[in-house]
Amino acid sequence: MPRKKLVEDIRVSDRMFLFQPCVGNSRYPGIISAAQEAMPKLGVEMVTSDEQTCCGGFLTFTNVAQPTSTMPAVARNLCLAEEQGLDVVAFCNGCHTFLTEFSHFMNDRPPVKGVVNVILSMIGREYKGTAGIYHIIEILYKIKDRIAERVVVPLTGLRFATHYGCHYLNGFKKTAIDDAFMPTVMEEIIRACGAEVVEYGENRACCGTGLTQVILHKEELSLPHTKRKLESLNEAHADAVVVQCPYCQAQLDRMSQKLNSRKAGDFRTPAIHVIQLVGLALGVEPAKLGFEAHAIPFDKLLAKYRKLPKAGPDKTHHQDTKAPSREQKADGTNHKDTKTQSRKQSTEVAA
Amino acid sequence: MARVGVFICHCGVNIAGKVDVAKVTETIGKMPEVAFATEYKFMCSSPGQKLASDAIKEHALNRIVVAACSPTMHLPTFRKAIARAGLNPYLISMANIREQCSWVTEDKEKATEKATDLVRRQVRRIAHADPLEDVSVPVEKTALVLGGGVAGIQAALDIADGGRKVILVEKSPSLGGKMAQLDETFPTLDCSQCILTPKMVEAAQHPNIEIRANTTVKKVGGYVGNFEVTLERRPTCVDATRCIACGLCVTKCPVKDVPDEFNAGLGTRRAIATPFPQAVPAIPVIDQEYCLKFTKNKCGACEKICPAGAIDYEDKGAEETVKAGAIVVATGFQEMSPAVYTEYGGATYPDVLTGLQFERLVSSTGPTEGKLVRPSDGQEPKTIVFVQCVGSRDPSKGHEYCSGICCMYTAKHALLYKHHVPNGQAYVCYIDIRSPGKNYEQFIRRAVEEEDVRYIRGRVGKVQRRDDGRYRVFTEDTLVGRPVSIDADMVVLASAAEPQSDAASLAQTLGISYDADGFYTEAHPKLKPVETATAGVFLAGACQGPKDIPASVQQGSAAAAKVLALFANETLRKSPQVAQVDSSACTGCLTCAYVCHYSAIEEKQAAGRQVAFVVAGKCQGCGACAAACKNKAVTLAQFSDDEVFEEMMR
Amino acid sequence: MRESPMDWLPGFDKKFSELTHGMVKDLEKCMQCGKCTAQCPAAKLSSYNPRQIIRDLKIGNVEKVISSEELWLCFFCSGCYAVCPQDINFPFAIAMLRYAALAKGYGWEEVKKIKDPYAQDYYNTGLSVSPDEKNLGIRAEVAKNSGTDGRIASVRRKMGLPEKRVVSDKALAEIRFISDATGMTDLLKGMEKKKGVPKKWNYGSPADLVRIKRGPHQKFQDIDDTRESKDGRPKTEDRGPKAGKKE
Repeated sequence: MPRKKLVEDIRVSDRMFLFQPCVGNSRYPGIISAAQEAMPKLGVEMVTSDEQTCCGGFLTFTNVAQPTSTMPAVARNLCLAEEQGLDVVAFCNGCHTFLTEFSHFMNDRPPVKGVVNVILSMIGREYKGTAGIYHIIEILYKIKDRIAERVVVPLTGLRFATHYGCHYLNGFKKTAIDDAFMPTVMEEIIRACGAEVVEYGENRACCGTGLTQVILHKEELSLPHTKRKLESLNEAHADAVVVQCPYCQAQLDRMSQKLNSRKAGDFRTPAIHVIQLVGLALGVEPAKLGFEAHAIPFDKLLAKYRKLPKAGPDKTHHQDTKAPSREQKADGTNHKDTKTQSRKQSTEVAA
Repeated sequence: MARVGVFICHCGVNIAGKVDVAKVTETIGKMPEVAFATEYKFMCSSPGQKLASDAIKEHALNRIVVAACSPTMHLPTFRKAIARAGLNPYLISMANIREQCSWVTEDKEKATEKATDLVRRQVRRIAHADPLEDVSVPVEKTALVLGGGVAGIQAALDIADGGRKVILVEKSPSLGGKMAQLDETFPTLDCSQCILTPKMVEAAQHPNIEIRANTTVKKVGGYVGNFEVTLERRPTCVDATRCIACGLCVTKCPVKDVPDEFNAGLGTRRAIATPFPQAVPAIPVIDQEYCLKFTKNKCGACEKICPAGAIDYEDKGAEETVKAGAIVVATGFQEMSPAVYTEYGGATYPDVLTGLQFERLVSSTGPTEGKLVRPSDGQEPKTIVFVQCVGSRDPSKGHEYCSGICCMYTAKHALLYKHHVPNGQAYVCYIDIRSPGKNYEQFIRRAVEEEDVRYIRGRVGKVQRRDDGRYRVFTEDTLVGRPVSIDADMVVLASAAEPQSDAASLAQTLGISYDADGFYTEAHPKLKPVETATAGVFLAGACQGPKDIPASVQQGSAAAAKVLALFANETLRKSPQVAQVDSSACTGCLTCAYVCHYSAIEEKQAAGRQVAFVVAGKCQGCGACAAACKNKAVTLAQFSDDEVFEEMMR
Repeated sequence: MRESPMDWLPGFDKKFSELTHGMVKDLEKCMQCGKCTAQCPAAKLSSYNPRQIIRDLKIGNVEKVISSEELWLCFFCSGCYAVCPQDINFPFAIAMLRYAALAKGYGWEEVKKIKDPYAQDYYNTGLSVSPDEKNLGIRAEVAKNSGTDGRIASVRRKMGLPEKRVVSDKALAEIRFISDATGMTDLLKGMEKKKGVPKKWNYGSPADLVRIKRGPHQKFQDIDDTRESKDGRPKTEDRGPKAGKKE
């Protein structure tokens, strides 16, 4: 269940800094163009900078670079947003983790911040620590009612599975906007777009990228793990699995293809980034959402999408975004268990 | 004319090791007020006390100073000693030259200097003290027991058997508490209700016990021996004086889907119901939140069918003020909701239950009449996993402490499971097994050795709900060092025992303290387990800390013993260190009454005008009134201006 | 910020808290409950065991940890941190221990594999991931889906974007300056020459690793938690040596 107080603290401004993820630009450019097309429709202009570089997270957590080098780089990137008075939106679990962890580290330890600023002063910058850092899922959740209102093509009848990934919910176990084991924020955004959510057993399993694993231990750890996840995902019969991180997207998309090529299974569920999904619902041209860069094709999904009617003036598609889905079986039957509901109520009452 | 006797204690080497006691004695002996000064190795010993009382007679001493340890240690001892010599016991003061001097000063010269100074001040102070007489207050020999669980019932029975009156207050419709919800108890596997209901009936029929069901405490005033408690009965809409407990109303009620609290949220009951068949009192209660008469102004079936005319929809509840000399708090605990354990699907997955829910499931008075089946599909669970330490030993999301009862009740549940499903397989995932009581360890071994319950040492990391409706439990067998997953039909979470949700507000009403976890604080963790820091209020049972049935019963009897001891006095002697108002100086502004925390100041008429008046029995001697009075009309005994000035300023 | 490893004594767990600037405090609070390993994805597929590693750290047996192969198997999913009742930030501990291992010479072969192209790309282009797709299989699929030659550059061009994201020269100069000034450039240059000390399987054996075989004609070792047993007894997985096979 979302943590109300933390959701309240999210500040959505009408101009925000789009922190471009490397895997986004170099593998799934649709993420960035989806953001640039969809966010303005929600009243948020995305500002980019060609001075923004890689966040440095990947290099640090693979131990190939040291925090002494990457922390100033993080500070430098955040300066770009600060200088324009903007908050940063990250589209990747990794970027968000790295930027947030290091900015907290610097802000909590003034001597460290001081040393970093000595280095930055040599390139004419100063890191103040004023920029807020948000994950796109936080922004979208905060404005989910706006999404529901402005949906152009309600995604009625489309079924999506969710994959939150690890670093955002697990790494920030107490400060993320939702619980690590039974989150619902992505589900609510999906429903705000008019679509349905389907469950599958390995829903909260890691994608298997594990930063190092995909390079070092691909065959013996990453692949078997992802295979198990994809097998469970197959049971959901979803039109796509919604992710909030391009690394997860790459892993689920590309490992599906790899396993298929080895005849180790038949995995056809495409992976769609939540911003691409919102783009579809807001009526952005699919060509601008970059589905062609994916290995697992979106043909079936897009075929269904093209048949969907546009929203009428009465917006009858608007679903109850809080509809409980936990009681739904993966085959779609709605097993409404009154016992569960009443038990939930009563465990609140003192026995 | 003050003739002060000064006795300086060595306390072995505790004082004499740092303070030059001989030198201090010599210096003090030269003071004009001092008629006699001496030193001794252990003043608190028998010969030490005799030394003091002999000196009083021999030297006609009329004020005493003992320089030794802290007054909280031995002031009462020395008071009694000088009383034996015929001196008023309040004409003594102690100088703490141990905790406040020798134990905290490194340098011997400085310590001696400080000790001399401390003693000097006490001598000057005591020279100006006046004798005081103890205050006597009457004792109302009625006990109020809050909570009708096994601890409360035991306390009530023991006090009542001791010949004293008891008012037993219970917030739910029936006595019994958690024990009434259990199926069988460890380690004997006695049927819980079978051993409890005779006690419940005995309490109901005891001539000295009055039961107030459906009642809570609204306000508590007064002090030990003289509490005034306002009780509030909620509207039950069934007249207890007319109801014959025939049960017809329950059978006719059309509202059948009210969540059943007694069954811990499993199953449903009617809008008019008794919690369980053996309830005492057996009077049903109407739940206004669900009763059609109150929600839609329809139905009325129970009123029509009732042969005794006991239904009264106009019942608004009632308030009652009672007097009691002592209060025993036995309000018990609640089971923590596992909703926050989303990794286990607590309070979400239909077949993931808490300990109490499992207990209700196997009980013959439970929602399935004792058939152990999965709530989701009614199938018998062939594999069951018991997860220990859910909410306990978890500073991150739950409670830091160990709940103490779950290792035992989980083994019991495993045994009950095997009795219901002999071919089934039970697993218990634990971190440590705590089985300290009599025959407890043997009980655990019985589960392991005789019933083939598999104990796996490792705390469960995740419970995953599979598409086929079964559950996959992920744990680690840490003794082997390998992760393990178990496919189970049912999972039982041993959820923590935590304080009741209204425990804190009740504590504030009663004026007792509670710790960081919310359990009520005993007066001393080792030596005073059933007393609180508030005189006259005692504790019994799980409200003081999670405990099993034998410990709850023990505390119930212990609290009863304390109450009977209290009631053995005709009057209570209270410290006379109280405030007093000089009505000739009092303007009647009543600022003192405003600042008094104990509601001990009232107004009265004196010489034709309103003045303040201190009720000596309630006064705790804090001195706030004396400080607040602008006219200096209030004085606190033993803290007169002279005494304070002499100690502090000269 | 980077500490060099010190003598491994008991009391290491408290020292570790200082070494990690308080980011990993409370190692001494670990009650060895096993919740971390219970849900760990790497533990299911290998002999990696976070609880055992903390055990070794608590008793000061640090050499065993940093010289181990297992240290490099963590997925960084932070699931252990999410379930830990004492809120021990174990993934961060792994990151720091890996630096410690490198300082002692263990693990350079691993890290070298990441230097090229990722770190080098960062220095050259400002992005850690280059748009060059080396995997021909992926490229073929993307080619099918996009009607291009399958290179991301081509897809980008089709979308109306520049072929690759270009980071400004000013930015490159700045990050190179930071890299030079903080020693990263030298470290990358010198990495080639680093000879790693071979690591040991201190907690298990390579046979514990599960692998998916290549090629369509060989049998696949599937991960199967639920071995059906003959007598209807419950299905329990035990990660024994049977599950893994060498390639």
